[in-house]
Amino acid sequence: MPVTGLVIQAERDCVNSVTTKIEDLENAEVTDVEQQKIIAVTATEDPGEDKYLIAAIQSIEGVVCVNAIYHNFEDMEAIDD
Amino acid sequence: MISKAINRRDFIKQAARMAALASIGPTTYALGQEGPNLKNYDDLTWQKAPCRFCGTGCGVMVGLKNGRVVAIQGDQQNPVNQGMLCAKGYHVGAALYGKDRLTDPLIRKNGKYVKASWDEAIDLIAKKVMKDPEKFSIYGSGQWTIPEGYTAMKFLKGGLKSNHIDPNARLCMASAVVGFITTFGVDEPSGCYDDLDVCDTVITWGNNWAEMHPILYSRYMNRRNKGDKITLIDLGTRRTRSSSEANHYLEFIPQTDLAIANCICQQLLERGTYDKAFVEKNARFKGNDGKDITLDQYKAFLADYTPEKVAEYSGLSKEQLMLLGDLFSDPNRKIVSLWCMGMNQHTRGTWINNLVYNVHLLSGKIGKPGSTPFSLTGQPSACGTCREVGTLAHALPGGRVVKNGEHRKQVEDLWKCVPGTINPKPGFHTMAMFQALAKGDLTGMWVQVTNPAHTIPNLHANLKNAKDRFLVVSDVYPTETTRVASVILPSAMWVEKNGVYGNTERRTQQWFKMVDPPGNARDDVWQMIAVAHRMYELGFEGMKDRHGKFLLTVRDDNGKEIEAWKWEVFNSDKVNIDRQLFNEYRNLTLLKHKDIAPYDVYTKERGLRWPVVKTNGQWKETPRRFVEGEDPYVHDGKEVQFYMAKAGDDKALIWARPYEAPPEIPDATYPFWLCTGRVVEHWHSGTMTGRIKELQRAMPAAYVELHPKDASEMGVSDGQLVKITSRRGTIKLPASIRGRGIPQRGLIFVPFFDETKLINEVTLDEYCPMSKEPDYKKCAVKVEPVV
Amino acid sequence: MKSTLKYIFSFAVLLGTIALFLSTPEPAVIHAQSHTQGPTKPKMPSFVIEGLETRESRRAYFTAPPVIPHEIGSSDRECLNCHKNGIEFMGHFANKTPHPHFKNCQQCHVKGTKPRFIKSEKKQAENNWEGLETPGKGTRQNPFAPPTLPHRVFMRENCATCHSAKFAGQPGLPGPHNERTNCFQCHVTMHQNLDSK
Repeated sequence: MPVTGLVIQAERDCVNSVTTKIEDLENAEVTDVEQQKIIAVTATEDPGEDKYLIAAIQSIEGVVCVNAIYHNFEDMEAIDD
Repeated sequence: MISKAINRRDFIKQAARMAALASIGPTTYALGQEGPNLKNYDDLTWQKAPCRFCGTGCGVMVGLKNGRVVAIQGDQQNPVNQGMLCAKGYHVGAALYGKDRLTDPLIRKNGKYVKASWDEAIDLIAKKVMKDPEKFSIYGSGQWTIPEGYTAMKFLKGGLKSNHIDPNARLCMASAVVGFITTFGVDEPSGCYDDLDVCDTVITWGNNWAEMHPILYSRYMNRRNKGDKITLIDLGTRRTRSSSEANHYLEFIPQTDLAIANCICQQLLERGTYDKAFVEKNARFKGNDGKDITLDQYKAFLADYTPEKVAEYSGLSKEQLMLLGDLFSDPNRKIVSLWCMGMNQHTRGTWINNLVYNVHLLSGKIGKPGSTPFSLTGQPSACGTCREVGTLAHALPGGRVVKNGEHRKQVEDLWKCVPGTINPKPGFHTMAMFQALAKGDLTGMWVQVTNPAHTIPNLHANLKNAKDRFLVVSDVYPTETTRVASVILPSAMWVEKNGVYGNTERRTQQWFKMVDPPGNARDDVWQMIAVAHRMYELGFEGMKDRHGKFLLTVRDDNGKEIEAWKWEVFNSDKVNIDRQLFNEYRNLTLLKHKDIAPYDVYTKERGLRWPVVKTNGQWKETPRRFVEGEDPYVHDGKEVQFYMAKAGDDKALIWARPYEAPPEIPDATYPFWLCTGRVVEHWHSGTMTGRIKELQRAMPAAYVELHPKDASEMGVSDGQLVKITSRRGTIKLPASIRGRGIPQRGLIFVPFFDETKLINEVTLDEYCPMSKEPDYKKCAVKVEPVV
Repeated sequence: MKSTLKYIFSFAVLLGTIALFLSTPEPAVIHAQSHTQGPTKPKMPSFVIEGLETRESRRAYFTAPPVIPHEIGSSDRECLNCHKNGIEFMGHFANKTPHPHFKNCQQCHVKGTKPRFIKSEKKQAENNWEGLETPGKGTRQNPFAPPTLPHRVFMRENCATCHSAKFAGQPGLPGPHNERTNCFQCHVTMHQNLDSK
């Protein structure tokens, strides 16, 4: 169950639209917005999904760059959740 | 908010969020701002120089702006330190800018120091010297540049026909020098710093290199970060910073190093683990009386030094002694032995140097990469100047001695002296020089780049009457010595003049003048040439060469005389007196294969290790002497060749030196050993480092280290004042308990940098009879709390 | 050889800059204007000025090793307890050492205050030393290029030591994009070679 903490830098005029578009994506939520930087946390079922999700965020209009700061992954069988 | 019922996934998501949030930092900082007082570096330039301080000889880059030194960085291109420095090196730039820099000549008149012109000072000195040349002396320094030492030699040995010249290096490296010469027939180490990169074991013999040669310590210890499995054995009389990372700290009773070294030799022979082939080819044996002996006779001599016997009085256990025996018995182990003042400042300093060579010769751990006995030098140019230029009472440049007629002739011919000028009788060595000055057998002395009124042992006795003599002191700051001077000459220091230094590993390093000295301060070389020329003008015969010309003439490349005694000529950009003197001195370095390259070669290099020999059109340095393939003077097929052996048989000598107790041992009245030394923040008598804010603040005053149990038995706590008394003097110092050094029980340690706390009023002036080097590490004192 | 490297670096920087703009759908000129437009340039926040002053007070000159601004024990091993990874503890910050591979800390870093056992106040050294001042920003090839480092990289391989969100008891010298960790991808140093010849 990979969990990733991301910092997304958005264009100054696009912060709100980018925030909305990230929220629209499944398994991604925006937790903080600091001026041009958007903090988002993704939590998907498997690593492959995680990759596509981050790529999707990168391709949102108005996104300058996406940085992965924190990543947590585990063996699928061991999860007890 | 995180509630009690948070599940694991939410916890991780919170962690992800917090991490991301923490990474961005305060975002109120937008781009494109200006701040107050921030400058750019358009006018900053950098030039290379060796550091002003210790014998490691690190390369520094000096940052220059508007005619001042403003920054120092480690020179990444210098193989010695590869960009690293120590606290002193980083702050060396500030040594030039203490507020009380000497800027004008001062002459003592009626008890007061009166400003004088250079002409007046030079004239006075010249006339005084001419009046009594046989009783005039020069006390020089291992911090002299090579041209300075060379000029002093010409002045005194050529000009005054005297041998009363000795450097402060007598007090630091003399035992090492005589050790080298008696064992190998020639001075200076055969190994180099590269051995630290490839060895697997280092044994320090009474040496706190973490503070005193920190670059070398780190060069070795940082190999652990690369995963190298390296061993450090710290053999010492007190725990220091160097002990903290050692695999074994072996604490020995002072002076028993003599027995410990012999014990290792005994074990090598007893076990049969000595390198038979190596010893057969490269060494032979000498009794302590100088007579040749056989291996069996040597073995019989060592019978007194079994681990059982030595364990009884050395402080080391039988197991610890056998550990040392094991290390040297292991043929695959690459061992470097390091030492400095612990072995040199020793009443049997020459012997202990011989003995460590014995250990390495017997075990064959010499002349191989990573296996070498390596004598560390204390001062930046004790090697380059004092030892190589021979600024000693018995010596001449290039390893020559005044006693040898052929040597005298060679030097006289180069200097164009009247034949027979150089005096064949050795002059006073340092301790004798000061004792003669006190008695009146010497009436004058010129002190340059050193501070004897602070650093000579047993000061009360040896600096007595100094004020009544004609004492000329060339220095940069007021010191204990300037306070008794008759004439004080303000001098240029470090990068305020051209210079050349030679470090521990035979690396000669050059630098150019970068900034002007303050006020009317002038180069030491100029001072000597000016006085010599004034004497010549006044008709003094000694200052005439065999053609009647000025003896200390400096000539340019075309043979034309340079009027170097005129300051405006000496100081002009068009001449480089250093270069001419160095190239002349170079001629004398070939006799004992201490070849140095021409001056211009060194201006482009980060130093070169001699012998430097032109091979296929290139100036090639010698990392390891006596080793085939590295030293061009080793004949093919010889592998290791000690080609300077006195007997001409290429064999180093293994001397049967016994243990001998020191002259002053703790007794009922004076129950403690006193050991003295340095700390990383300060250089010698602290005249420079004491004026550098960061260093002085970190270590403002002297103290005394006590073992915690000794302290508690006396009822002394950390910081409490303690009175230390010897048969010679007394001093009060605050106690440091469990500080950076912890002495053994019954021993105390005092650093000597503090000019308000002259520990040399307490120390003993007994010296090694062969090297004449005094023992600053052992005397007997009593210690009492001050209530 | 070195000049070729510099050439390659500048070229890479230029490419990187171009790539940056290509990644955004907006035309480059608006991107630039949004940073430099405005009647007055905004002033540096006070926490940065204080941070710089604290830094300067601990150093004999820009790039000198800072003195240790706190009490220490006698062992070098203690230093890395806090400075190996950086730590925040009761309002104090210990920044991560930019050169963790060097273990003999007190070789270069001396204490900023006198040893505890020296009770007397000895007169301080009086010195006219004027150390190299903290520089302004590194130059940029053009207004949109990443600024170059106005200091050497040697001994300062870990940018986060000074340029992270927190250090020296003050918020540090933050950059505009601290979350990007591969600094050397775009930023090169002005002062690689100190040889003036």
